[in-house]
Amino acid sequence: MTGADVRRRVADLFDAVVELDPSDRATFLDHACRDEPAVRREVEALLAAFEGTRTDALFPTLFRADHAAMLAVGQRVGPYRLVREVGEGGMGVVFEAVREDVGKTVALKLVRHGRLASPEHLRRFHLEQRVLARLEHANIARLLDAGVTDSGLPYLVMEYVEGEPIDRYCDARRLTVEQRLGIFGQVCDAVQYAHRHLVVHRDLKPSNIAVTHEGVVKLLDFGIATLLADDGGTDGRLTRTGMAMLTPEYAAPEQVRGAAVTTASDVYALGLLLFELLTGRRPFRRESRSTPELLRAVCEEEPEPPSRVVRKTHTESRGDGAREPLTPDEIADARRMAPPRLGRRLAGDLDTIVLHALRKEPERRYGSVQALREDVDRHLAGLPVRARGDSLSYRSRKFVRRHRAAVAAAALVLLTLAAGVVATVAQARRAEAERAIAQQRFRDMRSLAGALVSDVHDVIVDLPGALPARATLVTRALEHLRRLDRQASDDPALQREIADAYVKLGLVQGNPTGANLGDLAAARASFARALSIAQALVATDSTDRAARRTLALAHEKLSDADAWVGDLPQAVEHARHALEQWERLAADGSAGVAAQRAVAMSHIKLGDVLGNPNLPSLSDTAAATTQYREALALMRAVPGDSLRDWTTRRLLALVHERLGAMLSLAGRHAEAIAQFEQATGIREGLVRERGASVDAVRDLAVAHQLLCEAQLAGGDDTGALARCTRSLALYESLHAADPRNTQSVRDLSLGHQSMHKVLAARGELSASLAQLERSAALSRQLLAAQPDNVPVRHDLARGLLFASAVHATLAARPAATPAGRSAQRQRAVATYEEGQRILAWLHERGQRSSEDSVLLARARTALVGGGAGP
Amino acid sequence: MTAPSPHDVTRLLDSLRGGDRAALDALFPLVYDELRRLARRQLARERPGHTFDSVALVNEAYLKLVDQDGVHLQNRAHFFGVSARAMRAILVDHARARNAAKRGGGGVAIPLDEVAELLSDEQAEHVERLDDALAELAGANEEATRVVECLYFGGLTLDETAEALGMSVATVRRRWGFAKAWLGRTLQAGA
Repeated sequence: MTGADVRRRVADLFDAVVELDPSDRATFLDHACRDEPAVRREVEALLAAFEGTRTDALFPTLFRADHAAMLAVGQRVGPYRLVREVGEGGMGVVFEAVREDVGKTVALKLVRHGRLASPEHLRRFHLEQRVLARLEHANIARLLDAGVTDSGLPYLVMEYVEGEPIDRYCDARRLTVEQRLGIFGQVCDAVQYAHRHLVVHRDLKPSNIAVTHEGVVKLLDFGIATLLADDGGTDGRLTRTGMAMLTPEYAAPEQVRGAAVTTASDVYALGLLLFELLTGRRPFRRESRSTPELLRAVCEEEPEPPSRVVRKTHTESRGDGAREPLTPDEIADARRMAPPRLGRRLAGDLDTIVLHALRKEPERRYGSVQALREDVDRHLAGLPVRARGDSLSYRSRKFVRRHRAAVAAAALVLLTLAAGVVATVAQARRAEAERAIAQQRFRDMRSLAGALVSDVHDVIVDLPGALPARATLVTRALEHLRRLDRQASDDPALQREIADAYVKLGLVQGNPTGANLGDLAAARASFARALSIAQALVATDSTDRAARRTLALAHEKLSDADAWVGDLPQAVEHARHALEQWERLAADGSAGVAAQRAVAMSHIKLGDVLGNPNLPSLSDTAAATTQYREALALMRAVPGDSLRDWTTRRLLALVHERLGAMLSLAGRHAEAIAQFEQATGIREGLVRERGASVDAVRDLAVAHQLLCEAQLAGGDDTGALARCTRSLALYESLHAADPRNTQSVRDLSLGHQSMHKVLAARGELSASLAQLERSAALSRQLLAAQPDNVPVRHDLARGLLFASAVHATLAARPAATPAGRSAQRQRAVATYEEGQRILAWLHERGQRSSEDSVLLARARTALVGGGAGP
Repeated sequence: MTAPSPHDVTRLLDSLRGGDRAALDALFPLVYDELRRLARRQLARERPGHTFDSVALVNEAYLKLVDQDGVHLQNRAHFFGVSARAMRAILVDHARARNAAKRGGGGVAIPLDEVAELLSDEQAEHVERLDDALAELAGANEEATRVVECLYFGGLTLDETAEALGMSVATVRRRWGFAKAWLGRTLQAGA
């Protein structure tokens, strides 16, 4: 053996032997070192040194931090006398103490890691503590006092709770699954209460949850993680706190990733707790894993369902380092059940509930602790639970909708709270004494506001069936924003956030090109507010890229909104401004493909308002084509590998579609078909890769529809029928999934119009009429809710004129009976007149395309040709 | 020297996490300087006779040096690991300077007035001997030396040490036990 081998061997033997009972060591070494007397001597010398060396002599105290543990019992801390040490945790040492002046027993915690770094931190410590002291709930151990020792260590004084950690309490009493769920419910109540007071626990784990001998749950250390965080006076407290106090085995994935810690993190922690109460184990166990491995598991591994976990034997390492094998029999016995029955008891609902709370993405968990608690209650009451299993529902749109509704509801609750807190803050700000906390809370609320408005936005896109909730959300968000707006005139970062929030809010109120609440005027006002804030910011600091992006976005959205209400010159103006801003952003050397894409997109949008025949536009097709060609040239210039990128491909498809439309208009059908086929190919690929995305499916449907129209114009009605059938089927499925979504209704309506054209071209006139009737019904349904929606009014007028022409053709058929011919003629006239009236109405508002005139003329010709006068 | 930007330190930590040893060489002096500066400041504020708080120092250095927004959790662990090494170096440099001055020798690297309060005479003697023993231990078991740095000089917890060194807690415990035995034997023999 080399020297290195000997050293390795000595170390390995020492590791093994030191863990043995002293009485077994000699026997072990007899066997292990039979032919290695030198190695044995070395190991024995080390063992002797290990036993004979006092740790404190070898490693004398160098640092004050260690003094926390050395505070002698009997010593005084502030007005408290320490009685006995009752525990030691990662955060510090806990003593039973007595407040001598009132004779009250309390728990006093000396915080090891919490040395208060600065006077400001100390100040905030006291102010935060006051917030926490307001938490009054039967299941939360109250924070009574907090202070700093003479040597600068912070201490916390809490209600003294005589109890056991929740896991040990349940196991020691062999509580049944039902009893455990009852106890768990109490925990949920306490957490829910704190969330309503905007306090997130962040560090829920069994050792922080005590149960008294009367069976009352008491949560310890509520909000303490927040209290002790030193944010150094900068932003992002939520994030940092999550990291500083992290217990890896109880960390939520977002905490591991350093993302924002929110109430959803507590929902996750409750999922872990429930898992542990039900199975006696944690889903992600340390065992022999290093911390990085453990953290990776937290972020990536799916937890096993509890029902499966209880069927296996595991070695569990407890907090004190001892290892306990846990067999299925032991686990089941602690729950007063036979192992197979316990597995069956957990399978189904309880598996679902636990795994739902433990999802990796915070937004896919229960939307609130309340929702989790309700599902547990529903399960106990024998009702079906609301959560659904992962694999199936993840793909199912139905689920996505239900889930989003839950998130929206949660967001609503939080927004209500946010508004309340901001009001409180406004008051608090008046009192100089509470200024520090006011500012801190204000910062928190502001990021909450930003997150909420964006969550609200993301949630509401495509969210059907929750109209009143959505409207309330928007109102609340608006109130909240205005209040923030008034309070923060001098902070550019906040100003920008507010501008962004206005943009998002506008999109929720009335995004003309997406799902929305249909209030275009309100949306326009929000975009305009965002614009003026962003303009001021850019004027002050022309290097502020984020503000410039907001400015570009605001111009873009205003352009959309103006186009949709018919103010086209203004829409073009905004589109040009938007393009200019995007170009300035992309001109920066550090700007990447995304900036190039934004410019291309902006060219497309400008082209649209200039002359896209399918959208409200100035009908300047030449100018529009120029913009589209610019966009295509830009897209072709992006690096090849970014063409694999989803967004880039999507945009490329869009450009092909736009150019195809222009070529169609110019009567260059073969070229148009080629463009549309390119687009359809790209879209098919995107849907294959992202089957569940509503947007991708819709885009594919549109692509098929465009190709269909081009084929029809080129004289290929069979090809067109195939394309149109596919397109209509896709629209139908989207509409069925989301019947209240404005966009899906309009899409379907236009899909029917396309089908009418195909059928009419094939001579199937009655079938073609049925398509138009369905289309008109859908348009009317939309107009009832949104009378100002110009495009939909246009749709209806066109549909009516198409129908008039078909009726007229039917009336002119020699095969028809006289009565039938007369009826058809009457309907031809009626539909013509209604269509004409709508176009006249639009015309008064400057909305009339050459296409309309052609349509009108064609319908009149049909009428005349059919022998009827208008 | 100019202060490193939080971004630089975060980038170095990323490289370190990716296994780039050169990153450690670049990082170490930054952390060393910052910790020493903070220690000096902390001691200047304190009444004489107080020991200082290494955990607070490391935390403070961390908040100061590392970009909190882009930070990866494991970077924090690595930072603590590097800090523990730097802490050892600071204390040992100080101890040697102090002992040398007391013995009347030359070659004082650090002006004593800067860090006069860092260690007592007794502590300084012990730290110097401990450091020599640790250097020997590194030859026998490198991991054990790292564990001592983290737990003792860095003031890290078992979990943090496990994180910083990429070991399991059980391994940290074992290496600590070995270090204790080894150092105990060496120091007693030398005493």
